[in-house]
Amino acid sequence: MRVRVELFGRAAEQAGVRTVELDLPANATSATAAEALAERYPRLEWLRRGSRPARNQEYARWEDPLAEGDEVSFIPPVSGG
Amino acid sequence: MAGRPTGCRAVSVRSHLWLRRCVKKTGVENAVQIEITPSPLSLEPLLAFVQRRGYGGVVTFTGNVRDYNHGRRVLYLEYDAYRPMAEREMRAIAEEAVRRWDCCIAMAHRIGRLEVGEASVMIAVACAHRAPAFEACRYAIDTLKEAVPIWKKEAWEGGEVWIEGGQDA
Repeated sequence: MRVRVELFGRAAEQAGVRTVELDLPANATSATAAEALAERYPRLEWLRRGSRPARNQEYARWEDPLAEGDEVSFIPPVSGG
Repeated sequence: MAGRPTGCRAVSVRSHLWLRRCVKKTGVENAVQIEITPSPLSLEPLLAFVQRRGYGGVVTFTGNVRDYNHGRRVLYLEYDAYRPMAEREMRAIAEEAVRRWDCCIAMAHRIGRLEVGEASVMIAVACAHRAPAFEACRYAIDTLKEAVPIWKKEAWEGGEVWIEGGQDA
């Protein structure tokens, strides 16, 4: 399945892009997506431990299964305000 | 109740009932205004949105960029957001405030580069009375800082760093 990963802040700067298309196996989860992302962008390895996953703009869990066309992101501790 | 209300208690109960009807009739979503923008913030449109008949207590919060953070002189901040999710999260916070405190609420967050002294966030809350307005406003800014996917990068002389988590709270 194909998913789109949205990157922000430090992660976007490290990757040099704000959007990454990933081709994942059919049973992929948020964790699988983070690992595939880190394979392509080794500097983003910290996201798997240092962020919360989001799926289609809502907080999710690492073990939640993904679906074709999902918008995935990894949310480090926030610092707005 | 016949005739005009004569005491404070009667006025209070009447206005409270009127407010409940108002929120019910207009719906929670009509009591909420959310904005994420690269443009400078102003309280006026937020106040214009929340000020309505029967809402006697109005509280605002403004967060400005400080000149010093952890003893370092700040040159400027740069805010980045997961914009659609940040808007959804801010809306969820505001709607929860409306349900809990019977209020109207407007929240605005700026993104992009901000200079020292500029406002990064503004919140306006109107309730029937002041106590719930203060509580709702406090809830809104505290929860925004915990849950809304927005990040700031701090630039100082000789360096810059993305702030993650509440170390600068």
